[in-house]
Amino acid sequence: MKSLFKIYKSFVIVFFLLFASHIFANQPCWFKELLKDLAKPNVSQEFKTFFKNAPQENYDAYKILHYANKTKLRYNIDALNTVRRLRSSDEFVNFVQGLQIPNIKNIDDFLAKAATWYNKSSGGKGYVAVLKNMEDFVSTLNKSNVQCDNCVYLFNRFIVNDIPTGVNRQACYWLMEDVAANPNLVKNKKIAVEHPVTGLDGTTQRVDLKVGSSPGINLEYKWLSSNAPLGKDTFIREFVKRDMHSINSLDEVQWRIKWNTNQTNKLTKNQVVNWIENLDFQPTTNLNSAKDKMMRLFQSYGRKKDPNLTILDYDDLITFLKNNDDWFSKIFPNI
Amino acid sequence: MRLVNRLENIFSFDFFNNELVFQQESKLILQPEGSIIEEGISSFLVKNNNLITNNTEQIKLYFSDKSINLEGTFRLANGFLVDEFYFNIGKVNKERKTYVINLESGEINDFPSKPYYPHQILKKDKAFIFSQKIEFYNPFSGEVFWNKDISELLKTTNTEIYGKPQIINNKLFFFLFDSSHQTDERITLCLDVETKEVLWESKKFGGWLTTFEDKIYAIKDKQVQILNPETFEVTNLDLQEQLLVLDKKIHKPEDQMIWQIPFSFSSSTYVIKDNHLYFTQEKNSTVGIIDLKTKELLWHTDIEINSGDIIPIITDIKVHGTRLYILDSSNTLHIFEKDKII
Repeated sequence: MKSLFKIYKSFVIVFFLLFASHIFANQPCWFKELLKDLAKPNVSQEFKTFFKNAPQENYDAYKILHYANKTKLRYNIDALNTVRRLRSSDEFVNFVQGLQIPNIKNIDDFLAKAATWYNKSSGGKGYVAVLKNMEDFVSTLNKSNVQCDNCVYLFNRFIVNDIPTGVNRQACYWLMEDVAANPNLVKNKKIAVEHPVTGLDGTTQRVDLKVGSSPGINLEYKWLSSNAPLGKDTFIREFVKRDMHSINSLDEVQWRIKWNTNQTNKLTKNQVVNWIENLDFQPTTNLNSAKDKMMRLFQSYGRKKDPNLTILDYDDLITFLKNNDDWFSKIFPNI
Repeated sequence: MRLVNRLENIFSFDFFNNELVFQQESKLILQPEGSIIEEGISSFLVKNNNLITNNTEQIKLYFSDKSINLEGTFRLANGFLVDEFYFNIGKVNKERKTYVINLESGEINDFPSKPYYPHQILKKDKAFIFSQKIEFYNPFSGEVFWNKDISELLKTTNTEIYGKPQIINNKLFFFLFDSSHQTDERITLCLDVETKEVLWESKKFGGWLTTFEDKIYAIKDKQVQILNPETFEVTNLDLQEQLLVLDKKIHKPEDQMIWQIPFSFSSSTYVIKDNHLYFTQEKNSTVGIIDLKTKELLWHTDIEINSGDIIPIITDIKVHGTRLYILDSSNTLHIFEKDKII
């Protein structure tokens, strides 16, 4: 009797699909694909339930992921729910559409195109994680009354090919995650994703995020998810030649670095001291100027705890750096 | 303003006897003759028209047709010129001592600072320490006149003084903020130097404080704040509208977007003279002049800076006579001449 019922049920489904395919022959291709997906034996019950007596928004979520051309993603119930939720969030929609991201017509276009590159060098984060991260970031900016200049850069990274390696996309993910986790840092302040400055030597320099002003804080975001450590050249170019050169106080700079999972590439104080101790670049005039600025900044910083500190030469600076730890944890907080 | 000269390899500059003096590589040169005053220097400064030079082995003071050499390791940034005395701390034969030079007699005395070398000196025997507490003391005898814990003045996780405190007419002005950046708590205070009494405080005025003529200034973004230290009257000048012309947009094909570069004042590199603000741009190359009375942007230009992989910024600005002097991070000194009455 049971097997007879199964045959009957299969017959009804096949009939329904044939009927549906006939009825919807003139429907858009995404809808035809949905019908095919629903008929697949391996599709989850959750997926089927998502469309049962469902509002239009559920179908729209599928349509967006179908257009994204990510086959597995459109079966992913978390992805469908996330897309549906974000499309109906005035806060998120207004923010993203207000960014005026190049070549993005509306929120649907953004959510579809964001599916293209999300998994390329975002520390393995999936589409849902990327969107959730954006959602939290937007929510923090709104709740904390933050004005953001050039935030379009952060979102644009997820819809364009981040040539050559995708490291900027990864840093953008981390920046948004960190801001969302530290609302007090940005509360009632203006933040700015800074534009890159290309030097004569072709190197590009910029501070990732500037928060507030006079005193503000310049935040450098790095997510070193592979085993590669932070290189000496990067440190000299970005810390010595950029940060030390352009700040008035050590309170104005912080490097927020995410290391690999087992933290084997983590920067140590000894490494930094060693780089500063053996600092050498041309021309020597710029080197001397950089050394002088560091002596001034570290003396000023050190005197806040030890009024007796007076740095008279570079040896004094190195001695201070070796004998104290708090400057290191302040500039390179343990993330 | 008209560009009249551009000098290269200039590390620092100032004015001595009303003439331009600059360090070009390791030479100290006095204009207009271009005479070399000294070679082999690492830095110099001019204070109250006294010229002081420094190299790794000595410090040298030029005054009244004489010069005094002090052998040892010194940094000019640690020196103070108060009345007729020059103070600095130096390392001679690995021993640290404070030296006081009487600029009139040329007499040099050394003594151990008690309990520590001052961070700022008011008079010969009255000095300040600015640390977790502000201490007003005599660095010769160690006598403490008073001290005040800064955490009592602003209760945050990590209260610190930002910038250099300003002293005007026996009033001490300083700006406190939360250096953990976890709150936006900030305050500017004025203490009576003699009694440590809090005379005035403001949560709205503040930032990097600088004194020009008889006023204290704090500038940032597109805003100028002016404090009258006698009346504590604060004037806020919002220059958003006037400086809109300095905002830029750049298209970066590699980023596939247009970057907004809103103009922001450098909060520390600027000059105020005769109610004119000679400003530079934070982390960028625009300079200009604003009439603070009319809020009019009188002139502006972009300085071409070729500093290789050093971030291109303006490192110093000075006004002397009818000329404006701009030093950039490529060690180029740009000299502009007023070509009309500004």
